[in-house]
Amino acid sequence: MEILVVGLNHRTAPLEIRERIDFSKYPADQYLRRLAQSPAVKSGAVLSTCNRVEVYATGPELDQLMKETAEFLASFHGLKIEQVSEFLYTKANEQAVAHLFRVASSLDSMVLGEPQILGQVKEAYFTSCAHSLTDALFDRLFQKAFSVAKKIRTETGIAQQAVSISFAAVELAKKIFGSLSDRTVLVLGAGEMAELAARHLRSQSVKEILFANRTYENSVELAQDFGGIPIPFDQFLKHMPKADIVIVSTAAPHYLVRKEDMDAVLSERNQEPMFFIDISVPRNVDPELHDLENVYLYNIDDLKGIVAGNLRAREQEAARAEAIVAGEVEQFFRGVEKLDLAPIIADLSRKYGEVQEGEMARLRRRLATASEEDLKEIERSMDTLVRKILNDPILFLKEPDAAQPPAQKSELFRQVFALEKARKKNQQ
Amino acid sequence: VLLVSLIAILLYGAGSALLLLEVLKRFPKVTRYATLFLVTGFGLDTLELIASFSHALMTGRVPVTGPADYYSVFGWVCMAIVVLVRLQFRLPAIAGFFAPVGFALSSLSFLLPDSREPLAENLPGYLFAVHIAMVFVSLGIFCLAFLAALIYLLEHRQLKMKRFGRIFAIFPPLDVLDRLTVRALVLGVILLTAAILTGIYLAHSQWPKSWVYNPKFLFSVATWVWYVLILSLRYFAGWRGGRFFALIVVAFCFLIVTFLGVTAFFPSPTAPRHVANLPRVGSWRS
Repeated sequence: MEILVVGLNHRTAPLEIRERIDFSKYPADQYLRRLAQSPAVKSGAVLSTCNRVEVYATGPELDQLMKETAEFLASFHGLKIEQVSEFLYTKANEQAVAHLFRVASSLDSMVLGEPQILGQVKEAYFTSCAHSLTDALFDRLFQKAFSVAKKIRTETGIAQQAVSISFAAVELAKKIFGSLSDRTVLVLGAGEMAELAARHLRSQSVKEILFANRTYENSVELAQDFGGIPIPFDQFLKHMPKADIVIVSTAAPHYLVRKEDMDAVLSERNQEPMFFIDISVPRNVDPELHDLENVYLYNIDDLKGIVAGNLRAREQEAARAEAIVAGEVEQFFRGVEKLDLAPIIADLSRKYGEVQEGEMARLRRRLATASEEDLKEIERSMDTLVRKILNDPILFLKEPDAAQPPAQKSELFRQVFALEKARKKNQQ
Repeated sequence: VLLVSLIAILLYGAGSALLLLEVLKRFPKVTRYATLFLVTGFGLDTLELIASFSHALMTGRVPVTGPADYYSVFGWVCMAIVVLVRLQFRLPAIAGFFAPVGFALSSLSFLLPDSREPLAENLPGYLFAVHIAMVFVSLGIFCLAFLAALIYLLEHRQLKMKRFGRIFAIFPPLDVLDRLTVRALVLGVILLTAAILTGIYLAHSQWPKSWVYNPKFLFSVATWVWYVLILSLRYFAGWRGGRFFALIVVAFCFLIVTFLGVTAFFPSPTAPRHVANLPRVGSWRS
């Protein structure tokens, strides 16, 4: 059985092509039924995200499987194969398995280590399961991909650190305060980044978010969106002692928060730590605040620097993850070989089991005077004999051998032990 | 007893190494056995300690005397804290860094020669045992506070410098370290107070007049004053952050000087008179 992946992603195809080849616009029933109609496809799954479209399939004939899968990908979207072939990649067997493991582990994603892709791969597989478009090999392949992804996430730091500015700010806040559930946030000004940070903080169930904007109506609007409290802009210093985290993002050309303001604020807070995130350009928080003992101030460049560092760290971790993938691909194929050998071993055991049963029946007729205990002893002895005779050939069959692949060994066994003949006889 | 001790130390060693690897996110398949090793080692160590404590008291000897015993009990207390921090408070980083301290102390006690002093005749043995237990538990708790303070200072420094090492990711949040340290200090001071009071009572029964001038007593009181001062600065002057934690580090260094230096060079106020007159330096080595 051959394993194949045909697809395109953010590296091989421009957005216009990815927009045209997009399965997520259609019901799964429609495209999976069409895929199942391809004679070469025994099982298949379609992974369609904003950055990649891939069809995973298995079938007995690789060339036919490649042709039909690529044609399905193009024709389902009303395109000719020639129109998309330059954007497509095709990987078979070891390469296809490694590719799936890398995709599920987010090693092939635009943002290395992003967590969504594993859920999307799972969804693609479960949708195929729901449409009965899977078999034992396909099940094994995807289950393995999920376990590899989990292993990589737990054993490497690929997904550990934040790679977006707003998330990096939240991570820093958690490093200072631990749980944010009893913390108060003050948002000064508005802006996309401030809103995003507030959204992330809200998702951490912060106790309270205070919004202060020069236009009070904007504060009210934001407060309504985030379930916060609007406060007049000119009173933000009065409210500041309540805030553990302060996000500043205004268009003011000067410092809004100065070092000398902080003495009163910190003493009212009993010197409890404060975390300032200044996303404004020009900066709105006096950089000297960072020199105060219990104040941590990070501006946009600091956060960008952290994100860049985290991305580099993820890239370093990716090398460890790739080594895990290589080992797991090898292990997967060893398991698959055993899966391929299982029918041969079953045929062999069945054939000699039947020989043993026939011989035992003959003995029962011939040795009519023998006691039941003697016959049982003979039967046990025969059983042991058959198992001992078959032991070495089965071990030979299971032994990994680069010179003789499992398919070749299976064929040899079928001929030497005349297993096909035995099967036909059995079927008759 | 020797074999049980050795097995306990080996289990401590294996458990500490695995715990540290777990914190560094290496070899997750084997690190899951860290707790098993540590808890089993701790169980054996506890049995060994109870046996040797009871034996000493029954035969009329001071149960914990000399560096070998000090390190053994100190190591046991550290491991008790490791088990508690790991299983109850779920702070793997603290447990991971603290376990090697316990292992080192236990190993050191195993390597040092045994030295036992006779218990003073009129000394109430069980009160003495309580005194010793409180001394070492407070010492272990101060050691935990010291370690948490060191981690706090390192993390605080990285946050201030805005340069994060790989180890930054495994540090607990500053607030968690702050709360853990302050609680440890409060508990440590309470235990140290009780230990000093029982110590005074016991010493008074031996040296009714001169125990006040005993250097061990004076250094113990000085340590107590230092820790009480730190807690006062926290509760009454609102001290937090780097300078507060730096004080805790200095306090523990002072405590170690008291514990190791003074006990090695000066007699215990609870020792019998004839022992007090013996030359102290190097006596345990003979």
